[in-house]
Amino acid sequence: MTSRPGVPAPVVEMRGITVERSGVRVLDDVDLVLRPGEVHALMGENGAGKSTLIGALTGTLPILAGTVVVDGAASPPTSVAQSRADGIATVFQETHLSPHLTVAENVMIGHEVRGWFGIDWGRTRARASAALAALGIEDIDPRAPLSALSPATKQLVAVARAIVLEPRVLVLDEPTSSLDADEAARLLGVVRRLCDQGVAVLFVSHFLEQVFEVSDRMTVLRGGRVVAEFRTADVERAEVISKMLGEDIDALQALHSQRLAHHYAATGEPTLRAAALGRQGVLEPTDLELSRGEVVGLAGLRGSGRTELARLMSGAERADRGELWLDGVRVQLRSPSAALRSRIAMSSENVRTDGIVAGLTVRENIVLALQALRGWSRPLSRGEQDAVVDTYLDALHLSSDDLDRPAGELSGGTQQKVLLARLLATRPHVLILDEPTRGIDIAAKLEIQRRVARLAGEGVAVVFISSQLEEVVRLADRIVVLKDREKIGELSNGPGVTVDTIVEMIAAELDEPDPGA
Amino acid sequence: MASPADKPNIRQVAQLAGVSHMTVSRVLNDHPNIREATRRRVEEAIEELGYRPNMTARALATQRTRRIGVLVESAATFGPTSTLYAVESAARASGYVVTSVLLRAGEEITPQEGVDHLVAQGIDALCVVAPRSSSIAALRRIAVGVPVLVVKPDKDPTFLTVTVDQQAGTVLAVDHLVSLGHRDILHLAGPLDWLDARTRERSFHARAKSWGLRERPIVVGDWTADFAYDFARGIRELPEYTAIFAANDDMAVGLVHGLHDRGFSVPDDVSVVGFDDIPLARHVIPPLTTVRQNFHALGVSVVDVLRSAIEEQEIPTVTKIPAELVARASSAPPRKVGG
Repeated sequence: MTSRPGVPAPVVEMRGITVERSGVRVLDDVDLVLRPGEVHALMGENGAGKSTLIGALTGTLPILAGTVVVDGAASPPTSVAQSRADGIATVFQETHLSPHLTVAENVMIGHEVRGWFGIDWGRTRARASAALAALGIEDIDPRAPLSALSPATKQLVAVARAIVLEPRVLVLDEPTSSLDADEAARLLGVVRRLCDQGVAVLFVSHFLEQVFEVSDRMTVLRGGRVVAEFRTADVERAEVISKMLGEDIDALQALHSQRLAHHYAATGEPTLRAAALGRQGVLEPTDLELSRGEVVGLAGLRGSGRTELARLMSGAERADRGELWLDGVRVQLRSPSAALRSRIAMSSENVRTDGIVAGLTVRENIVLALQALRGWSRPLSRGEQDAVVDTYLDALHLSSDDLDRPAGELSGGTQQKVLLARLLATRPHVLILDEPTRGIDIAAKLEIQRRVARLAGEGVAVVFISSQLEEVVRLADRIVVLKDREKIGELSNGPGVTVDTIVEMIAAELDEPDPGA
Repeated sequence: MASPADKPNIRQVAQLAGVSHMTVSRVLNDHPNIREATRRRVEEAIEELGYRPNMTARALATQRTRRIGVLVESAATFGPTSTLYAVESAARASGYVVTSVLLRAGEEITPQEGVDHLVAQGIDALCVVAPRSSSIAALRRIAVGVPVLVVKPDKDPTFLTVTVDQQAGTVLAVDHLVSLGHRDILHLAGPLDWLDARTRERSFHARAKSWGLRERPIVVGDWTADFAYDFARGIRELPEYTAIFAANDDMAVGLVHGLHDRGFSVPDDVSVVGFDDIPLARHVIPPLTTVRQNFHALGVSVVDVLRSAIEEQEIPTVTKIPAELVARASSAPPRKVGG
């Protein structure tokens, strides 16, 4: 292997990697080359083989065929310990950390500095601080309990833990999925810094923009095979997406082109009307009207009040000021189930903890809300259940094989679809979706987006919240912009509106207060 | 480039001569309006201190090109064109020439290239007209080396600014409609990455709120009459709002045309107010009520500020040109709602 000038010799070369699981070929003849100082993104939908390839690299999965060459020496990692000895470290989700231990303990666990009398905590903490400093996050107190930190900081601690052993290869698997834009930007900054220090980074993320921001090169997997390798600077987003989906990107563009048409304000009595609705310390008094057949996007950064507004409108949180009117009648929503009885349904931001009941089957999860609405004393018969479930199975492309599996075993995308089916089964007039497409693959995302567009066509008033502004712009008829717990404006979607429009509205500040105010 | 501390500087000369450093500067540059006695005092102080003007500064001072570079974004629209025209006229009246570079969407000229092009010609100052936030961001990363003035609505930590008072102009438009009785007004905004569009939109929002007007989603346009025409043409039924405030006259004219073709009357069904006062505004049917931007005053102010900066004199502090409302026939009391 001769190295060309300007291209450093690879630190990892995987060639012809083939992996089978229960007789099914899940990776087929895959090549992956990681170079020092490069961020290499691994792209693909759920089930494309990303996790399997990481498993093959880090020694957690046996390889059927192929070679893994580390630093020019064939050294197939046969165990996690072996791969770690080869200088390959993996950052797991922050959930793998121990909330009750301190930052230093979490960073150093398993690598504590030992002295005469056991662990030398002073030096252990010093090593931990050094690792944090190397990441530019020395402002984190190594003595703080992990539970006191934000999800983003926890994720950074997880990175610190991975780099304690000064790996030459760092694997990051969906490190930003629970972070908002600012937090993700900080983590990406850390990734770049490690990369500049000569670490080879393998980066897996669903967030296209982050991949484009941070990566130098990308490998796209589909169905266990490599379908493309790109230099990031040379490729268009649409091309990457079409490679991942393996289908024409017409579907994407069809949804996209909806917003090329003008949207006109709905007229007549709104279905749901919030008048100066608010809650002390949570949301300033806010006016909002929802009409049947429109999709209203709530846009803003995390903490802007977008989730809070949704919660106040759906009974998940009690308003302490203002009024809520439903079809011209004033209502007080004391709980989400009271809202559901008024035909207002909301999906929560955190589907995994608040939404899906992991131990129940998909079928049971789908009929849950409908059953609750009807009262537990009148259980739905199997026939009624089947009728409900069948309706949404096709509509959301759920597999009937999954129906009797525990929902917890399914991918995030499938869980989201199950949750949507559950809400739809209650035939809501107002449907509030908070981050319904977060962290799920593009195909599932498109299905949910299409379904949302159709719901509006069927006369439902849909509120759609997403931190991905592109998605809001693509789907919404009207966009409500929030900032610092206050609604700062509304946009009719149309040909003049782009992601930038929303960004600029949030960025704008008036020099002086309105003289008449 | 800073001269060592032990070298006498212009301020020491000024102190010894008992004049301001600007007077010293004028003497050095053979400014005509200096009394002979003052000139002599300054020259004596220079001799006594052995003061040598900083050569770099001196070169800049004496080799002035008397040229102002102007970077104009999308000069196809009325506001930027008029501003360029006004700056050019005012500059000429002050003995300066103007060289301009037009940045147009879809053309491969970056702000950096535009600035490079102007600097290569030798300019004493740079004026940026109708900027978008992206160009401001790019401009911040460029070391221009001469005073930079941006025609934009809000103050800036880095750049000199001059503007027609966008906020006051918007307030005039809203107040005009409110005083006619309108309580439900649609805003047709310009692209919000244009700082003027953004300020007009934010000012509209704030003023509408303080009047307690019906909160209604804005429509974002692209400054063109075509856009506004298409929008108005597609309106399905007589809208609930009774007035539209358009962020520029081009769009207001497009609205008047589109509403007419759609079968609605301006101002009987819907009042329309624009911004700019383009020459055609008074010839549209009906003649357009609008907010007049005094581009001539803007140009004069731009050149005043830039000259002061070039000549290191005190910068005039009043850099907001008042706007005025021109009420014509496109605005009237609202139709009776429900009647």
